[in-house]
Amino acid sequence: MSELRPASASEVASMLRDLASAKTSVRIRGLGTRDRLCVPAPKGAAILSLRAMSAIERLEPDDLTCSVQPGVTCRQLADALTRAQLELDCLDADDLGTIGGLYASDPLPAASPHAASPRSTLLGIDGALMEGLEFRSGARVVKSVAGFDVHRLLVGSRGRLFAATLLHLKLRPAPKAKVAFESPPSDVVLATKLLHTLRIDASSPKRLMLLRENGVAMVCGVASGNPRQVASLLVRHGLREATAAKRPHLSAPDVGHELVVGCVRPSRLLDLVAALPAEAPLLAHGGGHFETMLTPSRSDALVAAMPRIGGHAVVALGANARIGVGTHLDVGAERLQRELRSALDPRALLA
Amino acid sequence: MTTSSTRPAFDSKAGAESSPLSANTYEQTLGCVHCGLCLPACPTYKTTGSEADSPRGRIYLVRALAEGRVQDSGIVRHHLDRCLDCRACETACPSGVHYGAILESTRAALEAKQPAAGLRVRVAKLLLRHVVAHQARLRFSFALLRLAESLGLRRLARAIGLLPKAVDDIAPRVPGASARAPLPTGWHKPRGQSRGKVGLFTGCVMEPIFGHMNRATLRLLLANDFEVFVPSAQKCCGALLVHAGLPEDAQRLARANTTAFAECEVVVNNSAGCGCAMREYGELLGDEAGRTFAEKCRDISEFLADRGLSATPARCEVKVAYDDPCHLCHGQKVRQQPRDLLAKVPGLKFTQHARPEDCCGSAGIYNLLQPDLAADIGRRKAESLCAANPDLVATGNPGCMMQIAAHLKAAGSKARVVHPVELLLPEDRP
Amino acid sequence: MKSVVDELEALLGPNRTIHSRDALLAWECDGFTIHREPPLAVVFPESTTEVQAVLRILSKNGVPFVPRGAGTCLSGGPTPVGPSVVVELARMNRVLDVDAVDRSALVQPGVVNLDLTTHVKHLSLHYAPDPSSQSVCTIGGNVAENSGGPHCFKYGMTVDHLIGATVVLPDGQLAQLGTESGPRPPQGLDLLGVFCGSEGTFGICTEIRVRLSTDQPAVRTLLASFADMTSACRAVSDIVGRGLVPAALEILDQATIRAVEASVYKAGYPEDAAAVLLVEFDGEEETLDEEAGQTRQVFAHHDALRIEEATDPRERLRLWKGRKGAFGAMGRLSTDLYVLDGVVPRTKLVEALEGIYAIGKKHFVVLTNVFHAGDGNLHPNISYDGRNTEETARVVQAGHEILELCVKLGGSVSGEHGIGTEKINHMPLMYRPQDLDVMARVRRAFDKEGLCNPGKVLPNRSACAESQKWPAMIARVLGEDAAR
Repeated sequence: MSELRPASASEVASMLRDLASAKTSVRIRGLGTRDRLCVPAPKGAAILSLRAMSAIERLEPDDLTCSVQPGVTCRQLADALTRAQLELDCLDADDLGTIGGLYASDPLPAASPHAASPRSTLLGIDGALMEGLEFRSGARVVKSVAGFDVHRLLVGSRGRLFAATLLHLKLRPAPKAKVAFESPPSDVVLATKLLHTLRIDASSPKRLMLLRENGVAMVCGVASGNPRQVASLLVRHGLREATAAKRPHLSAPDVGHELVVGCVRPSRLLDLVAALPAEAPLLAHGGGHFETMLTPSRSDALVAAMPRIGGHAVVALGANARIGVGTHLDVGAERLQRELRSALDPRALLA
Repeated sequence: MTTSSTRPAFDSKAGAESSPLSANTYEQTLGCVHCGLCLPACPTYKTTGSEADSPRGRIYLVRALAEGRVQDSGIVRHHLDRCLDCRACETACPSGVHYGAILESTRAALEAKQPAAGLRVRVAKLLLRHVVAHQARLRFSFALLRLAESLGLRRLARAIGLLPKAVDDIAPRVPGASARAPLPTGWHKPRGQSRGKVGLFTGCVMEPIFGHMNRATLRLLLANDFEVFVPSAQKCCGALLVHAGLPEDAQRLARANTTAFAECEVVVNNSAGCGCAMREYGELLGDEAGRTFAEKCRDISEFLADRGLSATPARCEVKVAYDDPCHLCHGQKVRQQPRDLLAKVPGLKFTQHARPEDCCGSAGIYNLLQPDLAADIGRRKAESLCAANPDLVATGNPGCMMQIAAHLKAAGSKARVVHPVELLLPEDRP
Repeated sequence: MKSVVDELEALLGPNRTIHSRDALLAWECDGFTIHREPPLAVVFPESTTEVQAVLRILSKNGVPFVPRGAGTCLSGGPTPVGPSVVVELARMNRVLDVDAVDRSALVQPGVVNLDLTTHVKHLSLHYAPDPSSQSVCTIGGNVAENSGGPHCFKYGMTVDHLIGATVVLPDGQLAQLGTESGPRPPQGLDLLGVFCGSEGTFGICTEIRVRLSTDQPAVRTLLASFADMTSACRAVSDIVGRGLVPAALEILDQATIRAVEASVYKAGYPEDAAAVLLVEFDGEEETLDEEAGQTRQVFAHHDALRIEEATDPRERLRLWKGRKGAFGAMGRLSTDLYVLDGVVPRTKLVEALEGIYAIGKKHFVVLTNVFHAGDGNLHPNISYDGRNTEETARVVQAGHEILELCVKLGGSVSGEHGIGTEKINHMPLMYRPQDLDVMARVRRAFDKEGLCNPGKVLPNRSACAESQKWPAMIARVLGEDAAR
């Protein structure tokens, strides 16, 4: 089936309503850059792309808020924000995808208390349910606790609860200094120690990662804030300025390997390392999320080890049948996810 | 208020015929805006987590009682009786609600309406009215107690359940006759040039049980060159009677004290509970004599910190935790003075413990009437003190000294409890 | 047949089950005293298992229940609506685990916000969200309300500091929301994000893992007084416009200043000023000099009357003392206090304040303002006498018009106090019926039978039908005889 490209919120709602009455499954997407992280849509499913909804509707530098349509690309918003001397914490200017896709997929939780998690930069949404009902949740101002925060369910929902047609976001003044840094290469034990130290530093960097490739580990990230503060942070921990910031994700897995994503308490990072083969690449974020590449049998071994380490691990990219293989959510959380899906999309048409 | 003309005046009869409270008490409850800032200050709330055992909840219940919404005033009474009257809530209250006044006037009104039942309460009341309030009878009772103790009757009483364990653990053994001998009355002159004249309040229980502390206080004042007057006509301060809802009996004692100390310009005491009560004589007596007397009262630490020490305290190489008696810090707002004085003791080091202003659970005869709650609160106090690992705990109230000592012992601590006065005495001159 | 209260008492014992009608009056309201209703009983569970057992008994019998912490909520969150049982969590007040490497703590819901900070002080850590009631309010209550505080301009609200929570769902089942390391398991929904701020209507959290923040090496507090409110608000815009990110930006108006100065929270604020602005920066000493210098320039530019700067903790506490105690101090003006909580875009602050004072004047109510200026979060306070029904009606009307104004200016009816019962009728100002319908669906996903803190947040259209079932339910709870 061809791709539907609605241009407005009401078009999204009416298209969804029509598809629902025809009992057609729908896959909601943006530019499709994160498609590889999703189980392929079922046969016969309609593709509803929000790429045509690409307007920055409102940008209020004095109020530190903006409202953007879901098809706005990350690059496009990053540029607009730079011009206005603002920033959005979870935004990566190199991200080729859309803002809608960023929030709906797997945005990373914050690594430092100075960085906002995706859930806290999303102030509200306009959205549409599968049955065609248009709704609003949250607010346009930086602070509101009115009503239930349905909009937070967008984060990580992969388009399986509703379509967001407008996102209200919380911004910050752009920091005076923003420096990509890295540590000298070392073994993973030393790098982990450095990661822990940096996490509890009072000027902890906004992005903080431990990267192990080819058996060599380093700590890298982006520090921002007052120039003097950033400079003294780098000196304090023996870090050097890097030419470019490292990407916050591993690249696509080699043949015969799969991408496993998960989370672990930072204090248990070395236990995770011990459960991985020495040659496996590892990207561990200061916020606790990690990515690694393993053969299917080693991923299964890691998944089996996770209860002991504490945390989760799930195959994110690999053979179709393997995607989503991983640790189980607890029974209660599973039940809530089911109930929420059936409350918002009772006929389970959002695929 | 913009609408004071339309505001209905409080009419105690309009709410309910049965409300025994005065309009004034009701007005005082309305000062509470229900913000809850008092909750963490309240020792009983911290123990039970129950709103009805919190200052805000008690004020609310009193208000409901005044508004005629309460069916059984016994329930209100029950929750008021569980209050230690430590006044920590008054320190915490941003609206300046006089919790102590609400509590005491409500207790008095309820007691007048229906005297409290229960054997233990009745016995306590009888003792308060007819023994504690009379110096001679009290002295005689302690002599009897001493005799009983030496005959092993205390153990017997404990064994047959007449004496609750909680009380037995706390109440000290009665000292021998020489230690119980009353402080010589009349004027005492210092050796050197007098820096001023003060009256010394000796208290009721203080004399027979903590007589050595009164003697230490007298010595300390003399050593610091003050002329001290100990009137023979002074009486118990009446605090316990006020707390028990017996204001008339307390008023009699208060009058006697105002007369006994009439010629003194300053009345010094070494018991925070008594000091606090005496500073409220203005409200208790409602006359000029009461207010004048209240103005003259000073805690020994407050007085000496103000006037300065002229005699250097004896060297004492110890680690001390100072614990604030409620009726000193909350009741009289005296916090820094005892610490400043102790800091002048050569060799003395402080050790900090968590929440020194929390009540220890002693509160007059509270540990007799509410042994379970008092024990919980005392245990918490001992825990925080033990964590600081002091050699000595200094606190300026006899009830607190007993309670803390008992709970420290139970917690396995070797720390001794002293009155700050004991540490401030200079070397004995040969 | 055994009544529900009998069953609860058999489970928890008589000391942890209160059902004396008179004692229950103490639970009939929180910090919002306009709506009052006592519960049928109060229970005090002390563990997750006990909470589960309590909720099983209640849900089996179709009895609604209300979770409660310290009862400092300002919107009626823990106040019963209709016959229900209060589940009091104040006794669950232990810090279970602190991990300095992870910078996290596992706490029970009854832990007092400030006690957690005190508990981790020796590690140079603190818990960042600091509502004005932080010395009393519980973390469980903060999670329910998504509480803010003066410092959320820089550090965010409660939801930004949650890692995971163990939740007892209304039917007694356990659910683990969030993960050990982050708020959301990979490929899962942000259940914790939607649970936080649900005002106790989605379930009861019994263990909460919160993020701790590292203490900043230095803090600088500045206080400036202004001859008019407009200058103070403009100064705030300028500070933010210069790219400075203060940890807090607070404004008190003249009436608030006077109330504070007459209370035990007296902080030495200049009583002749029309507004004082409190600005706080944290970070390293040398950067603070720079930021404070820029802020002073802004103050001067807007003709500040007096500027004070505090570096040492004692002075800082003094400057903050009045702000933290403002609400309690307002109690001195009359017998009751209605603390409102609206938000406007920060650029609309001046307009909003002018409108609010006009509304106050129109309804002859005593109105003062204290607010988080950085967030545009206003707290108009109305002092009144709750015994006067005519005056109370005017107060409620003024409150309604103020919130209407906030929404008209593009804001919200609540920035941090929640909807509860207080603002339930203001929800339609902000949301259309279909928006409320989607919220109701999400709520049903957590609480199918609608037993968990009913009558809050969402206007209830079927309240009449519900109330017909009450007599039978009350009889089940109290026993046939007692109910009569």
